Amino acid sequence: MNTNPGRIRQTLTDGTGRAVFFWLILMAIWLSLQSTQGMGVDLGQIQSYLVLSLPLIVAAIGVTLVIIMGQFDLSAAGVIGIVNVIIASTLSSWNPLLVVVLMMALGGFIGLVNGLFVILGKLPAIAVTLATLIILQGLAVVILPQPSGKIPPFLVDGVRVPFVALGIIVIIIIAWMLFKRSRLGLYMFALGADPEALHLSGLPVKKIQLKIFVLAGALYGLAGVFMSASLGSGDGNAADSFLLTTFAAAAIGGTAFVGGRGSAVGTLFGALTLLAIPKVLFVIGVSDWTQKVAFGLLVLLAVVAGAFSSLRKDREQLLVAPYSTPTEGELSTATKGGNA
Amino acid sequence: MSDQLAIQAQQRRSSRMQTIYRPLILAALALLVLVAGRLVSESLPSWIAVQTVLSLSMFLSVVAFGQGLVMLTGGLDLSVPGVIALSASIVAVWVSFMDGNLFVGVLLALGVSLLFGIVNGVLVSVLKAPAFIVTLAMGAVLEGFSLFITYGHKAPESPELLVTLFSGSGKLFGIGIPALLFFVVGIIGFIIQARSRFGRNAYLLGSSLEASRIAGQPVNFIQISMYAVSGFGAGLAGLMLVGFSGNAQLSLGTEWLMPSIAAVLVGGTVIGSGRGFWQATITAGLMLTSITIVIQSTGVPQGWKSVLYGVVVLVALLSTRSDFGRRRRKQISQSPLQGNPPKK
Repeated sequence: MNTNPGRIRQTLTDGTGRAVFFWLILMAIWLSLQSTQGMGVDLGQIQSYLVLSLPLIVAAIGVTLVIIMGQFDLSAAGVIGIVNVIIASTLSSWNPLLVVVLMMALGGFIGLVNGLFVILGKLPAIAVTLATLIILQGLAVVILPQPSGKIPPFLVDGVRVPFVALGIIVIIIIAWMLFKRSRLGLYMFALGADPEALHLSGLPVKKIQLKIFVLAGALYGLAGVFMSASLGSGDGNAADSFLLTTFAAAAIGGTAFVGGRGSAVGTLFGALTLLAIPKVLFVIGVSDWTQKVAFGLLVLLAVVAGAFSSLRKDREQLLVAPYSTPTEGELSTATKGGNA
Repeated sequence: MSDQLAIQAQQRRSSRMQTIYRPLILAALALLVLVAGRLVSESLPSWIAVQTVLSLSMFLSVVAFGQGLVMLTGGLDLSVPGVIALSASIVAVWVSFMDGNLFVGVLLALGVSLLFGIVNGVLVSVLKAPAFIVTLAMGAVLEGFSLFITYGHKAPESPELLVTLFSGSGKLFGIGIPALLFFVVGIIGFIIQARSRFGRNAYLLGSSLEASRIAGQPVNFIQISMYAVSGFGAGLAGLMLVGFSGNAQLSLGTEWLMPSIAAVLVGGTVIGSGRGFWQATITAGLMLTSITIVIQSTGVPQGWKSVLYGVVVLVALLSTRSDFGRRRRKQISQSPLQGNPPKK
């Protein structure tokens, strides 16, 4: 029964399943090509690939949360950049745990500012977060004009201990499973699926939105710490690429850009897929410009495929049962639970 | 009835605010910034500085025109740097390495830019993919293509005619040609956006996609044409910048993306609302360019420029909000039950 074609198709159209599928294929190509070319496969390589993926995974999950809620947040690259230069320029000898907490707080604060402008000012989130992105990118270059500085050795060495990166990934998946079922998680999905309904049911929509913006900001802060740890130094421009890659990871992971649908696990595998692409291209041995073009095209493909499948899903839903979004039932029990 | 009239008067006031006062305020601010530049540099304000501001604003306006139309209809075109680099590389390589005709090279560059603009538009309008991701990824692809075209060559030199036209060395009535072109661009842009059917379609589509569809407008075609114009504009800017800077570097376009978006936002265009005016966009461009010139003459780190841009954008966003909010509140207080009925 499990092998019938409908089931397979369902897994492939489901974002998370598709991302895992792509990732497995890319990993298979990468590792088999590498071993046939006589370079062999060692665990250290996979380990460093995971370490390199951590910042993108965490940042892209933050971006995903905001998308699920039905908004866009472009400031991730800015927060990561500023966290990186602050750690490298001033916090390099501080207690690493304090650094993590401080930087997450900083990210959360920036998320708070974003949220206040968007919610209280009723301004388009794209415009506001673009402005904060520009400001943060500028500040990062002002703080650290040239790439330099040092990252606390504990952080740099810490993430490179075998299985630490893998452990963090497992923790992320567990945290998502818990968050998805928490009240805030349910509200987040409901808000993206039908903000009007949520508003009419008397829930504090603004507060929920604000919480998600802050949470996403804190995640960008954490991503900045991971990015610093994997980079090992400070660079005001190093985070710029995150603007595209975070959204690309979310797209590959099957997050619907209209809101209401998405998964951090999908995004996680989206990020892993995205970072496996350069590995494969490198092993194949294509030139510099082909890599750039291929990378851009694959992102385009993922975004378009994701948009297309969610477009079709929308139509199917409209045809079958217009308002039986899966979160509705869960939502009512959640509100009851909240009152009890 | 009198309430109706009051609302109409309010709306007229609000639209006059946008079409006349805002551009005037922005232009005055631009002048003020240049004059205040005296505080940081002996050489300001000067005739040369005014000409530089006008020239740089002209390049900015050419990019911001398409950007503004795209934003009016709810999108964002982040492929601008890629298109600029590609168009610049095409014309420079065509003329200096392949000894091609400049005219053919220009047509080729503009055609390719237009084509990629159309591709952006199709992906956004037909497949409903989010604009900023599509265009961002497209930008990466185009930068790759530019790298391929100029592969192995060091920044090809610009065709002479383009240098004469756009570097400011060519003069007409003693004024640099790009500075004069600023006014030409301004007038052409105004005619297209405010006085042509094309512009009206953009406004209708921006204010309500549904209404536009119901009115029998070819919605997808209009949306695609906005991206096509943006691609074409960026391509044109690429040709001008190749002349302005003397060679075709791949980083030619990167410093024009954020200013183009900032100019549109500071000009009071609200993304996807069908609200926004060209005259405000170009005067906002003047103001932003003046700020850049003054900052450059003080010698403070470049980063402060983006910080200031971001702050100006945030302030401008709040300013578009204030008059809009008043009108909305008034309408709502008119008929308390007019809110969206619950969907069932």
